Parts: sequence; structure tokens; C-alpha cells
Amino acid sequence: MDSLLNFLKNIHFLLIFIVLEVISLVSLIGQDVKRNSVFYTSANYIAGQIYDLTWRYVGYFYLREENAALMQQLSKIRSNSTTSYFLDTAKFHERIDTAGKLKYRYITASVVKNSVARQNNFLTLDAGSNKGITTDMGVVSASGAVGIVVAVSENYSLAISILNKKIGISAKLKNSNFYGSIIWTGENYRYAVLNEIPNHVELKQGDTVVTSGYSSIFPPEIPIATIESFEKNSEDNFYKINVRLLTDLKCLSNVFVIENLMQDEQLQLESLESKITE
Amino acid sequence: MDIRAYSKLFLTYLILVLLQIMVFNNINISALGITPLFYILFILVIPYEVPGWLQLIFAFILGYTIDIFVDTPGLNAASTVFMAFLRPHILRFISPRDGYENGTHPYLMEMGMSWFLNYSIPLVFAHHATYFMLDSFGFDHFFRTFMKIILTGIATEILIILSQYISYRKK
Repeated sequence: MDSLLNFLKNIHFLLIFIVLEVISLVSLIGQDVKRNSVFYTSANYIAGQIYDLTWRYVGYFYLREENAALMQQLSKIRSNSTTSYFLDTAKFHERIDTAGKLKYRYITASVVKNSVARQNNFLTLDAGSNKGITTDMGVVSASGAVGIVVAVSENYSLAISILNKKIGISAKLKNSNFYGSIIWTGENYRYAVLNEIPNHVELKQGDTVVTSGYSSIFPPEIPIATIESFEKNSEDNFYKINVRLLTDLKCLSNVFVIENLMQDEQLQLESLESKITE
Repeated sequence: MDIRAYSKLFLTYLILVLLQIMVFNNINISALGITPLFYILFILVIPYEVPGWLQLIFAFILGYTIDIFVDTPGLNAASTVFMAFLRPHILRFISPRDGYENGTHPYLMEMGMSWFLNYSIPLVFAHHATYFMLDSFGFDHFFRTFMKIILTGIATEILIILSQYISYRKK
């Protein structure tokens, strides 16, 4: 017995080291993209308060880029407004009726925490369930899609960034409607790859890649990236496409969270799919 | 080790965590994304008298606090615990001939530049190597991970040495 106690005394340091490492590694490897509780994430109350305080000062550094993006967006809206049109009443015009049901609602939020340095990056937003945000909502900036909400607390929400190797965003080519998915490679924060585009499609450098609208998270036609380079792959029949992300994630400050008002309906219907095939 | 020394250590912990998440995590040099991990200074300045097992637990708490803030459960904790595990071995290896005197601290101004470099460089790089290899989950992209370890390690080491000059007060 004595020798056992002595033995334990001699190796207690190693034992505690191993126990703590195992706890760390298990929580690292078992890390699930969907969090059950926000307490152990940066969307908890204390972390949110501290990031808010930081953001009050750091936010100023990004105003220049932010203003440029907003001005661009504004000019697009202005040019589509009725005052920008010349009314030609002498001719016959066919009109498309725009009466319809609202499907997407945009909620504004600020990014209070962001990173681009790791392999799996997340964003924290300063709007939570109090503004009607729930999980599985898309996050877009003025220039393009940036992430998906995965956890929500009362005043904050946690979104998985497009710069995260664990998600792919369903995307299509704007010109030809061929769809694939955009996945980050973990290398440069401005670039990602577009997979699953078959070899016979014609591509050009600079082609825009937009959201496909198949996923019930993002509306269709939201720009994500432009094609930077591509090569045909001889092993399978798909291209290797490098795309340049339209949003500079390093200076992201204000975003929109998109609520799909018909998401439940779509998901409910799609859940029947597995039942029918059984 | 009295209660005063432990409360001083707790204050150091609070300051370093706040500095890391409010200041250093906003620094991002070059496209590689170099963010200095300055908070590990805490493990370097734990007094010699603190028992080894307690150092491991302190390191775990420190790492996990940072993990909560940056949403990487276990990544920082695993690296800080490994660093705290190595520390007693490094200390024994570079110990002065008569051992460590009572009342001295592992600070640059007390132990001298060459001792401090021998002490901090292996520990900082051990931490960074664990951190970036766990982050990229293995050895793929080996060159990029290697560059990140080296460059971030240099940035952290410079900040740690600067901090020694700034925070030291003569008794």
C-alpha cells in the first residue's frame, strides 16, 4: 500500500498533465459546429460585454472600407429607384406584377468579434434572440455572403464564418446556373475553392459566383466570390476553381442577418424526402 | 507562497486575458495571419514556489478562458497545459549552480538576459508548435504551419521580452 501511495506521489504531476490534456483534446475534437449551450462560447454575457467595449474603439479602424461598401450599395439602390427612370408614356410597356409575399427579412447587426487566423473561424454578432435571430440564418455583408448563425443568446449570436473548413456554402455560377459548393482551404483569407463544377462548363476569369438558393438559408443570387483561376482536373470530371471572396473578412463590421420566413415550411417538406425513399 | 502572492498572480491572469482578447487578438500581420499569443507570459511568471500540479491547473484555466472567448474549445488549453508540463523540466535543466534562491522570480531583470532567453524561447515555441499543429489537425500544409509557428513565436517572444522591461519595478 505504501509503495502504491509513493508511486502515485511520484507520478501525480504526469497524471494531472495527462488528465488535463485529455479533457482539452476531447473538447477540441468533439467540437460541434452547433452548440447546445452558449455558455462556453463567445456569445455568453461576459464575453459579449467585453467584446462590445473593445469594438467601440476598434470599430473606427474599419469605417473607411465600410463607408465605401455602403456608398456602392446605395448607388445601386439609387439607380434602381423610380426617380432614376425616364418615364416614356407614349409607348406600350409590359409590366411584371410585383405583388407577392415577403419571403426574406433583413436584420442589421454589428460584428463584435471576428477572426481570420485560424482554420475554423467564427463571428460574434451584437444581436440575438431579442432581435428575432435564430440558428440557421444567413449572414451577409454589403458585398457578399459571410456566414451562418449557429448559436443565439439573448443579446448576441455566434455565426460560423465562411472562413471555416467545417462548412461549405451552396453556390452557383451566375452565368450558367451550374451549382457546387464554396469551401475555404484554410490558407489565404481572401481565397476559397468552388467544387463540383463539371469540366464541360465554360468558365472565364472574373465570373461571379452567387448563392444557389437551394439551402433555405441564403436567398438566391447573393454574390459570394469571383473566379480567380481554374484548371481542368484529369482525375475526375470536375474543375479545380480558385475563387476570390468578395468580402474582406478582415475588415468586417456591419452585416445583415437574413431570416427566411418560409424556412420551416421548406425544411418540413424536405424532411419527407427521407421517409419516401425508405 | 502567501495569499498576497496568489492574489497578485490572479491579477496578472485578469490583465493578460483582457490584453489578449481586447488588444492582441485584433493584431493580424500579413496574409498568413500572425496574431501574437502574448497571454502565455502568465505561465512564464508563475513563482518557483507554486507546486507543479497547481501550475498545470492554472495553465488549464488560463487556456480555457481564452478558448471561451475565441470559440476554440480546448485548443489553447491543450497548448498551455503542455507548456506548463515542460516548465519544471526546463527550469531544472537551466538551473543556476546553487539552485533558485528563495524570494527570486523568473523575471528577465532578476535572472539576466541569457538565462531568460534559454528559459522562454523553448517554452514559447513548444506552446506555439502544439497550438498550430492542433489547429491544422496534423502535418498537412506542413510548410505553412511551420512558418506560422516560427513567425508568431518571434512576435510573441519580442512582446514578452519588452513586457519584462516595462513591468519590472526595483525593490
